[in-house]
Amino acid sequence: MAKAKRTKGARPAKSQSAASALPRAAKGRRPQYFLDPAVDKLHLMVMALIGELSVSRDRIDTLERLIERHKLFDVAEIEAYVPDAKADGERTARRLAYIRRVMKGITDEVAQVTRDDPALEFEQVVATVAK
Amino acid sequence: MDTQVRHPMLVPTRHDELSRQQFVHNLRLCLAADVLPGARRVYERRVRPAFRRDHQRDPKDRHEVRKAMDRDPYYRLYCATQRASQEMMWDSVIDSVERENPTLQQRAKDLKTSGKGSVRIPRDFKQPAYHRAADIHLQPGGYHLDHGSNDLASGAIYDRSVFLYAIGGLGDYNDDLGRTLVDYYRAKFPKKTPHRILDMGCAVGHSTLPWVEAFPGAEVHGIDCGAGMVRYALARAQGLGRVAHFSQQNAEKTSFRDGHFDLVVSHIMLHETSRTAFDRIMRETFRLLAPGGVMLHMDLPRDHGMKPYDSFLMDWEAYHNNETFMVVCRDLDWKAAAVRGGFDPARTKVDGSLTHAAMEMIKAGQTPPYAIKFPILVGRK
Repeated sequence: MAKAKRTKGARPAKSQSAASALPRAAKGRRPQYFLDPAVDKLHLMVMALIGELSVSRDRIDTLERLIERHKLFDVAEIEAYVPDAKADGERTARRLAYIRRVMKGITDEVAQVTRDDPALEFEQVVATVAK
Repeated sequence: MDTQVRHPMLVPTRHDELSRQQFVHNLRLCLAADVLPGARRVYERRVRPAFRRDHQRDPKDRHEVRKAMDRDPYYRLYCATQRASQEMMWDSVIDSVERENPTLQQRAKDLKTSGKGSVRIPRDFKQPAYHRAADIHLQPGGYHLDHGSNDLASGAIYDRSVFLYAIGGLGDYNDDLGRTLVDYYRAKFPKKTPHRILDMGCAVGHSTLPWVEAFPGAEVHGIDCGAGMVRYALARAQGLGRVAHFSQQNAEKTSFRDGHFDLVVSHIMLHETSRTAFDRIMRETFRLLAPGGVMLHMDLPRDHGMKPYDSFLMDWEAYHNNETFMVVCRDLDWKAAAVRGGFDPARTKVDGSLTHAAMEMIKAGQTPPYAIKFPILVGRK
């Protein structure tokens, strides 16, 4: 790659420095709304997810409208679309993988409880590796 | 509907940023229209009966209602979600402002070369404790966020966020409170034409510009503790082709000379100050007015005359949104404070008005969704 020429004395272009980052948290104590503070955090995560899902749906809507505007195909075809066997299989596999990823936090516990070689307590592991 | 006027200084957004902002807008609409009304039913059917069983009487004031409601799971979830919506609102707008900051600063510079009006930032401004204690309305960094010289980020964030915050209820220019006070002034003082007007706690000038439009011959000044606010206020005014003068000043003690104004106004500023500041602002208003001059400080509904549950609702912002002084301010005797500040008791009163938007809807035969009278502290020197 050719080296970019730099005029003598010219300053390099300003990059997005740490100084230009704006604060993201307001000063002041945040109320605790639920008995367990972890629920407050979970609630915020759920709110963020609801928000991002809404954003994604808007984006799909944009895509559909652009498809219509540029006459790529009739958007009504989306409603009438029926996946063929191959597409259906791939879609099901992808959907299941997605659901399993979401449910992993729950199902991992079962895996721990039912394993043949029960997990050691933390201190036991420490004792083992300290040997 | 997102109908905020896209004036030259309004921060540009990308696809997903706009979607995030509109999501917050709609989430707040749903919270206000569906979830919060449910809290009143929960109060009537569940919380108040339980309180009666325990105390053999109804809650006597807004504080007792709040303490009982704070334990209710429905209300808690409402509060947590409303709080989250406020935090998500700022975050969704800051994404855009952070990126567009240099562009906005350049645009403000360009507007300044061709536009009229002025902005003045003193070198030694001391931020009052009530701004430093907690970030009001949860705006990260506070209204007074300032990185010096051309920084106007706090104003850019505020302008867009206020529209989302009010769910568009302040109008496409966020100027409904200014219009409300202009209407009030015209109705009550029909023979007066102000020559110099001061808007205290003007932020980005949302309520200042209606005065410029109503009285084209007047010199209009806006002051605010936030440097970024007033820098942005000038650029916004210039972008909208309006002439006003802004400066970073504390309303408790300004640099204007005695009797400089024939009209001093504020729009929901007082509840964001402090008890000491409230008194000082009264004294300063009195000092700044010329003989015959008028003071109009509009603020949020006081506790007096409200039913405990309705009054409790008005306190939400105090406990969950860092508008802490509101709790105290709503119980203060405003008229007494004005009299302590120098105003004649016979020429001072607390009046009230519906908002401009509510009045317009009533005129058109419709029912406004928000028909609460905003109190106005009126005084004549």
